[in-house]
Amino acid sequence: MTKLYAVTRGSKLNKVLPVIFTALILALALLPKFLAIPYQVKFVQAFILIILATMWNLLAGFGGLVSIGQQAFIGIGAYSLVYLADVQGLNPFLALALAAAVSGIFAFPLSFLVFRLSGGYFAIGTWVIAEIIKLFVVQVKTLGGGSGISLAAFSGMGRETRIAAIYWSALAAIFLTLLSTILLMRSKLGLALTAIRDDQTAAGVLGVNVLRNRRTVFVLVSIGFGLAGGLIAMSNLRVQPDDIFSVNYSAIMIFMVVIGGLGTIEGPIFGAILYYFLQDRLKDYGTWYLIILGLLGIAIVSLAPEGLWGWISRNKFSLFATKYRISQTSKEKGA
Amino acid sequence: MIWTNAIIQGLLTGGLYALLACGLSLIFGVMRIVNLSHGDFSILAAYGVVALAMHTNLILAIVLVLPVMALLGYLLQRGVLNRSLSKGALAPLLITFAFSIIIQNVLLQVFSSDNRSVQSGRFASMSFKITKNLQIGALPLFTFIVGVLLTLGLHYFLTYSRVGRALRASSDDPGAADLVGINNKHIYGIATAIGLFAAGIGGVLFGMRTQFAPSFGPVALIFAFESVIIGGLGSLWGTLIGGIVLGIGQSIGAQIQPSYGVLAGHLVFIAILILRPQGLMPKQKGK
Amino acid sequence: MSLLEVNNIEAMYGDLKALFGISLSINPGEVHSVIGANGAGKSTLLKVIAGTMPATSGSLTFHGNDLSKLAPDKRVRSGISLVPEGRRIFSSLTVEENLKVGAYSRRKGHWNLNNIRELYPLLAQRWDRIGFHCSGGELQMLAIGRALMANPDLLLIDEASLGLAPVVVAQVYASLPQITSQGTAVLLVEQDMQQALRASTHTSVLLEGKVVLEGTSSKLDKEAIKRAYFGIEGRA
Repeated sequence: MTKLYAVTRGSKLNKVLPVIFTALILALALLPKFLAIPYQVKFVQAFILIILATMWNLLAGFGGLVSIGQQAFIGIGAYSLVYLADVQGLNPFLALALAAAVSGIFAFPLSFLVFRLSGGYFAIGTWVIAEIIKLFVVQVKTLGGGSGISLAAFSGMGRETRIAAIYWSALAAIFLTLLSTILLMRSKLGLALTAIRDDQTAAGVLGVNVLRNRRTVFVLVSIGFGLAGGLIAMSNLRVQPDDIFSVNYSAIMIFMVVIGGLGTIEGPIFGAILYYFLQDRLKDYGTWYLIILGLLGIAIVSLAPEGLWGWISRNKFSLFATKYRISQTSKEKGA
Repeated sequence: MIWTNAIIQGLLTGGLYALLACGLSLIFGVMRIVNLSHGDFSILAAYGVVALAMHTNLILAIVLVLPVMALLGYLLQRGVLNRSLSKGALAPLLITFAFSIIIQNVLLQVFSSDNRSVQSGRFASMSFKITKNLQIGALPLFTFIVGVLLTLGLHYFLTYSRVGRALRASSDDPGAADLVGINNKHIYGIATAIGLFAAGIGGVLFGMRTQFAPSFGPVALIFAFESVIIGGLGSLWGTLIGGIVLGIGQSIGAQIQPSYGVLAGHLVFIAILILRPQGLMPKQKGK
Repeated sequence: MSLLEVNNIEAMYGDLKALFGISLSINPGEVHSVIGANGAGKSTLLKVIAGTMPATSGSLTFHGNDLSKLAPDKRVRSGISLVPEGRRIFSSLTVEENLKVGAYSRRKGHWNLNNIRELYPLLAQRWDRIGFHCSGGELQMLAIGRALMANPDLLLIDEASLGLAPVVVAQVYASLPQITSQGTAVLLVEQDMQQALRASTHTSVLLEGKVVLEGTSSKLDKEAIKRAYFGIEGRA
């Protein structure tokens, strides 16, 4: 009697989850009716963090590209939103979608530049690119120069309506981002990326076009970063070059992903939520909170390199069915 | 004549960039670690000298700070970074980035964000008149000479000394280095110690000619990085040349418009990345 | 007391057991060859002795001292040098520099740059050539030379003749007597059975991680060796 094994993706847990998530999304959508404005704002902040963490994880954990310059695309998204909504007079929510696209459009040619570097030098290179973009943007008078620019597109709207609208946009954004990420990882691209991440040379030899796949990820995540940038601009009603292009965004993203766990979809979400509460608690401590964050980051990388989520789930289960597993089926090969 | 002046100033500044960069280059060469906190350590040294110089004279302050930088490098490498080498390419990057954040914020906490400088008295303003229109500052000249000497010194060290050979062997094949009796953990510590020592020298000289704040670490890192890339990976002399080219680029840009200096440097970097990504003097394969 | 005592050494590659209780002993000046088919565990044994792989049980005694806690670089300082499979020459260092770095541990003894040049004249002609540009034969001699520069009491050679032209193999083996005349013992892993038997004083035959035959090389029966090597008709 030999047991039969089947290659499956997902377990019983995974079948229940889509139902839970749909319910969750619906519940969240109804929130503005019941929730006071400050809490809606908090949710928007949390959603933005989750998008940033998920995108950075996609780039680094799946794409194998560690970048500390993604704030370039956050900035491009933010400025594009302001430009399209104010200067071009488009509907701000349409402008949001377009701003994300603009980010992607910039990412394509930039990828040719940064891909000439690898490893740690790639990381710094992306940062230098972000600095250069900032220096160029600051020269443009229409975009407010060095002191930044305000978003006027919402001036006709009442505050409650505006916050609710931004809330729903952020909700839609996070839904789309997570959905795309899951679909991407279950797709051929996702498989290719996992292969590249595990062994670049072997993947190449098997016919995976490493460069093209990486470029695709790079461009796709930049759309996500642009989306986040647009949302940030909408929430703050203002874009300031030193803030929006700040490398602190990279620090925060790295921290969220490392804490949560690189290379899984759940990890960054976990990390983002954890970070949100941490910075909510600690932001009064000023510089100390960043020092603590830094030390915590080092501790986790050294002691639990798979992140807190990785440590908790330890390959036993995952919320999103993206990994293949071998499981015993109930059938047996009879004689 | 203004252009000649600009070029010479840029050349001399290049020496400073080479100083800031050679440690970065060495650490990467031996361990494939890109130390994202390299610039912050430079600035840390400058602050150290500023703090000590309040109680003693400048020379003594420098003499005390630099070995401390080396020791710090050794301890951090052996205590934290060595462990991360086996955890994939991401871990050292994350850890050095965390170092960067910690250093900047500790400095902010201790020294506040006010601009500081390393006071060197008359030395900072001394200059030599070469011709009617050409003046060379003593400090920039001194910095350049130190930069060249350090590059030379490191080159000789790596080529002819027992430990230098061990560093190169370890960088080629750490497993084989074990087999000839080299303790890689210790060697890596030495590399980082030298790297941070060099960063310290760069930081102190930087602090003598420019005002600085805790947030200047990243600026130093970017200049160091651009010097390494322009010059070509794996070559100390390349890093020196890269620093000089960067310095000259910035200087010419600043001559056109004062605020264009840094941007011009970035553009030179981008140009090299597009036209000659291996750098101006890249290391040949195998040597 | 022998120079090296290997007692019931077991070793694993992850979940796979590679050595099932190997024992042997070597005295100064002896050449001990370890032969066996691919995957028999020969290289694993050398790696365990050199310290680049841990033993899961058993003991290793060298000069009467327990080796098991020593890291590989410390074992070099005690007097064990490994010439690894694949030679692993430092590719950016010249022949001369490779030899010089071989002396990193600063052990005293007979071997220095000059007499290595005499031992392997071919190397003398390639003195300034970078490791990356050396041929297979040059690499093997360089690897042995580099290991000798540490003046070991025990020289471990993994796959001495692999991938080398017969002329080169002959030169390598011709150098062995000069090495052992200094009192150094050699533990040699070799695919070529004939070569191994000719060059060694003692031989152990490994099969699937166990010693299935051992003895004085000149006295071992060729048929018995073949049976042991291939695992035919049970164990000897």
